[in-house]
Amino acid sequence: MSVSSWLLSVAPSQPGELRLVEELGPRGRRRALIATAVVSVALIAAVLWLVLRFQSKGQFAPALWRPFKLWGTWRYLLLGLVNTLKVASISLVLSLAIGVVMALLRSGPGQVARIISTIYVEAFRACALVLLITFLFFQLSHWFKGWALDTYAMVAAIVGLTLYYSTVFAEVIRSGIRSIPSGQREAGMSIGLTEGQALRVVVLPQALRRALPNLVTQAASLTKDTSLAYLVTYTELLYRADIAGSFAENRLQTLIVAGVIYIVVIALMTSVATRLKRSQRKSTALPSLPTLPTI
Amino acid sequence: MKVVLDNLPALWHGLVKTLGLTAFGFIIGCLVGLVIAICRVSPIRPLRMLGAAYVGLMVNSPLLFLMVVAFYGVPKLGILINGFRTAVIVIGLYVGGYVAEALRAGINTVSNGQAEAARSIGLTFAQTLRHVVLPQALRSSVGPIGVLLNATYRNVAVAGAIGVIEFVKSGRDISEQTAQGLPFFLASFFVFAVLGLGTSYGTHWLDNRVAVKR
Repeated sequence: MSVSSWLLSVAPSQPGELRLVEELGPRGRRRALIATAVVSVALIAAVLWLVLRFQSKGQFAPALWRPFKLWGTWRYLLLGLVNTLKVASISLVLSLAIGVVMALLRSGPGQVARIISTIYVEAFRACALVLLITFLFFQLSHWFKGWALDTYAMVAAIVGLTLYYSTVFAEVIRSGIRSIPSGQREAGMSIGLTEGQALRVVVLPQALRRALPNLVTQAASLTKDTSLAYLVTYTELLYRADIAGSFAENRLQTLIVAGVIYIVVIALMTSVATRLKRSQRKSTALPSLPTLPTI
Repeated sequence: MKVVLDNLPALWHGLVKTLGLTAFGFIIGCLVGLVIAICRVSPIRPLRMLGAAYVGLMVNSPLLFLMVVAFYGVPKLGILINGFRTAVIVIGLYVGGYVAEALRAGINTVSNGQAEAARSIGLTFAQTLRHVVLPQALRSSVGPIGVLLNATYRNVAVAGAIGVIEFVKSGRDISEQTAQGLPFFLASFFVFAVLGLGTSYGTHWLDNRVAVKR
């Protein structure tokens, strides 16, 4: 494909996208080329402005970037990433487990169980994650004496993330359960399983599979939210970047490096979710599940 | 509960800040989101790439990280803005990425026949978008955007990290002064629950009112 046909192609890139423009004719191509040139110049000018701004304020000075020639700086930041991933993975496992239980209770036959899980999910979903984590940090030091400061912060972050994300996962899994045709549950019961057994053995595995792309999306969101542990001084990536940057007096540079690490890790998870969703759309006749907005 | 009542003025101050941050941030977010969504479906490839890059950047970086960079990093480039305005701008830009995604999903729910009909009577891209596609897309995006508004109330608590004494931060400060955590937690929890219920009720109402009856 030549450069100009790549530039001027207006076909939707993915199935399911609305086609808004017809293939361009000669006049349309000319207009589109002019617009492309104008926009490109504007974008390049914007980038140039930013670079010049860095330059004129001395933010490219070698002294500010020198710490990144040292392994020690990288080690300090990467240990922060390890802490981030540690909190993320522990919270992920715990909240998935609780989420599955809550989704089952809420979809199952038990009346009391349904009420309990509804209250749990609605209550913690309404709560701000920042509020949960900072409150837990404050309260843990009253309830348990003698831990290290970092442990209080870590436990507060893990418990807060787990409480909040278990409700998110419960909702995602429940929407998966609801998307499985009721014939599955009925078939399970007709071969002698109880309703609960049919739910667990027949419906749940299919529901989890259908919900997998959304679960991965939410896991990416959970990883993003581990940065809130910064607020209670847990030494995860953002906090360490802040410390290292203040120490070497190159906060902007260190934060940029930390940001690149964050974006690479989280974009990797997001792209896995997108790929799963696409392959699922190809392989199943059922309509794909609506995505719960993550923010 | 008495300790909460004694500190009501400070909490009220925080709540007003939270509501202000949410309102201004959300308005900016909707405008940015609309522009980015239009970029993402436009026939100009650099604009599509810009839109995709913007959404990728916002969706894949933590809000708190953006907040910290804007407050501690950006002033090094000689751009000085106070904490509240920094928070509003960051929240606006962040929410904008999500609103753009919601709008794009809304645009893709419009049926192909609508766009084909618009093109076949000779409407240009801008006219198709303005008169045919966006009116329908905006209606079907009301629900998802309401969810984003609901999340924004809770997300603006992140502004506490850059010294904006919003609702959660004000409660946290007072509970540290008075060594009482639980009353403030419960009070804040209650306020968030009311705000959340209010927005989702309002969103449902609006969603029903503007829904495309097919």
